[in-house]
Amino acid sequence: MHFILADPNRISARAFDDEIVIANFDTGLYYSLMGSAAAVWTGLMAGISVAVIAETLGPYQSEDVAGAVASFAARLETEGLIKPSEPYATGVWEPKAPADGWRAPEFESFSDMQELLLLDPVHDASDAGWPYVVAP
Amino acid sequence: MTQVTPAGPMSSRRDCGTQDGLTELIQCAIGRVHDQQARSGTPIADFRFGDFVLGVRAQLGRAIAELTTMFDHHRVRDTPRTALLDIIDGPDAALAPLQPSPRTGRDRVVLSTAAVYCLWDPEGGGKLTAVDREKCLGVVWYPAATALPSWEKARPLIHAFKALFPASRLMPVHGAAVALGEHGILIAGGGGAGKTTMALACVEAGWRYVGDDGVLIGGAPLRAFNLFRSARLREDMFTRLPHSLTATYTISTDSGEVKAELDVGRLPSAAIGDAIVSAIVVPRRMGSPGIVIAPLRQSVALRELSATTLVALPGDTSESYEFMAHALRGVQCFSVDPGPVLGAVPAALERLAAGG
Repeated sequence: MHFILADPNRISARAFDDEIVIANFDTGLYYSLMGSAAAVWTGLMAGISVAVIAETLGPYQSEDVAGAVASFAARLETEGLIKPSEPYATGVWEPKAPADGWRAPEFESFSDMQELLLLDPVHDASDAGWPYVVAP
Repeated sequence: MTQVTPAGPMSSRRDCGTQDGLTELIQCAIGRVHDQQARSGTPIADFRFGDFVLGVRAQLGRAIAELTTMFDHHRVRDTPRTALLDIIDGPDAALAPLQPSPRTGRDRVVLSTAAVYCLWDPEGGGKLTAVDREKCLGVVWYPAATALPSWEKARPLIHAFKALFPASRLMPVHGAAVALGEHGILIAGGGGAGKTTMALACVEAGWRYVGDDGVLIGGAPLRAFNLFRSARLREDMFTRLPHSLTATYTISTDSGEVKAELDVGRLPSAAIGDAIVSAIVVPRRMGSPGIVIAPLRQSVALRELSATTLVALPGDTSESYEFMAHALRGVQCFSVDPGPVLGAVPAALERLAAGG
C-alpha cells in the first residue's frame, strides 16, 4: 500500500535533523516523529510501500515490524496527514539504523495552535463568498 | 477578470455589488475607496520598514486619530512608495458589501489568495483589512469604531503588513525582539510566556528595542525589523519593571486583563531599531533558583513562533509557516528559565545575542 500527503496545502512536513515535524493547519495539531517513526514517514513520502518499508526496517528489530508499520500508517491516515495512493515513482530512501534500537513507530502531538484556534476561530473563505458559520 | 483601475471615473461608477466573485468584489471596493480618497485630496503619510515603504492615507475620525502613533518614528518623505493603504472610519457604501453576514457570528473570516487578502475581525466593533495584492493597494476599515481596542492602538494595521507580505517579503510574527549592537534575539512563545518581561528587562539594561507583540522578520541573514514602539505589560510585572512603567500612556482592561500600555519611545534611554537575529529564545519559567539557558530543538522554537503567529495573523497559513521554517534555518534556539532575579537576565542573554 502506498500513501501520499493528504493535502500539501494544509499539511506541512519538514525534517529538522533527525526529527520530522508535521503541521496540520486544519486541526491546528503539530506532530513530532523521531527514530523509526521518522524512518517510516520518509519512506512513505518517498513512495515506498508499507510492505517494503517493513521489509527494509526488519533487520533492525525483532518484533512484528510489518504490523507496526501498517498500524502506524493507519494512524497517520486517521489523523488526516496521509491518504492512500496508487504506486508512484519512488524517491531515494536510505533509512538509518535506529541508534537506540528498534521501537514501534510513534508520534507525539502538540495542540498549541489548536487551543488558540478554539479560543479565536478563523474560517477560510473561498471566492464564492464569506462562509456561513453556524453559531455554536 | 474585471479590471479595477486605481483612479478615474469608470471605477468609481462601478457597482461593486454586481461583481461575481469575492475576489472581484474586494478589488472593486478597494478601487472605489482609492478613487474617493484620491479625489478628496487627503494627504498620504509614508512609513519605511526595511526597504518597504507603506503609504497611509487616512481621514482620521476621532476614534482612530492615534492610529499611526506607534509607528510614526518610521515616517519618511520623498521615498518611492511600495504600497498604499486607505484607512476608513465609519460607515462606507463602497465597503459595505465586503462586511460578512452577521451569521458568521464572532468568528474571524479570511480570504487569502495570490490576488487578494481580506480579513474580517469582529472584535472591538469590527475591522476589515482588504488588500489588492496585484496593485499593492489596500483598505483598513473600521465600520463602527467608537474607540479603538487597546491591542489595535498598540499594533495598528498589523494584518495589513501580513497582507502585503508578497510585496515586502517581511513577515510579521508574534514575538518580541531586542538587540545589542548589530545583533539581537527574537523571543517566541505564547501569551503570558514572558516575552515582554524579558524584552523590557533587556531594554532597561540598555539593549535596543526591536518589538514586543509584533516584529517583521526577513532577509538573509535573518533580521528582525521594528514595527511599533509599543509594549503591553501585565499587572503582575508592574513592580518588577518600574522604569519601563514610566513609559505608560494608558492602562487598559479591554483585553480582560489589566495592562500598562507603553510607548517605549518615551523612555529617555531607549533606542529603537532593527537587528540581525542571532538566536531564538523561548522563555520557560520552571521555578529554577537561577537563570537556566539550554539549547532548544529548532522544531520546538518554530512551533512556539508559528502557533501564535498563524492564529493571530491568519491567512496564507502554509506559505507563512514555510517562510518561518526557512527563516529559522541556521539560527540557534534556546529555552531560558529567567529565574527569580529579572535584573540578571540581560547579562545572561548577551552571549546569545552575540551568536555565541
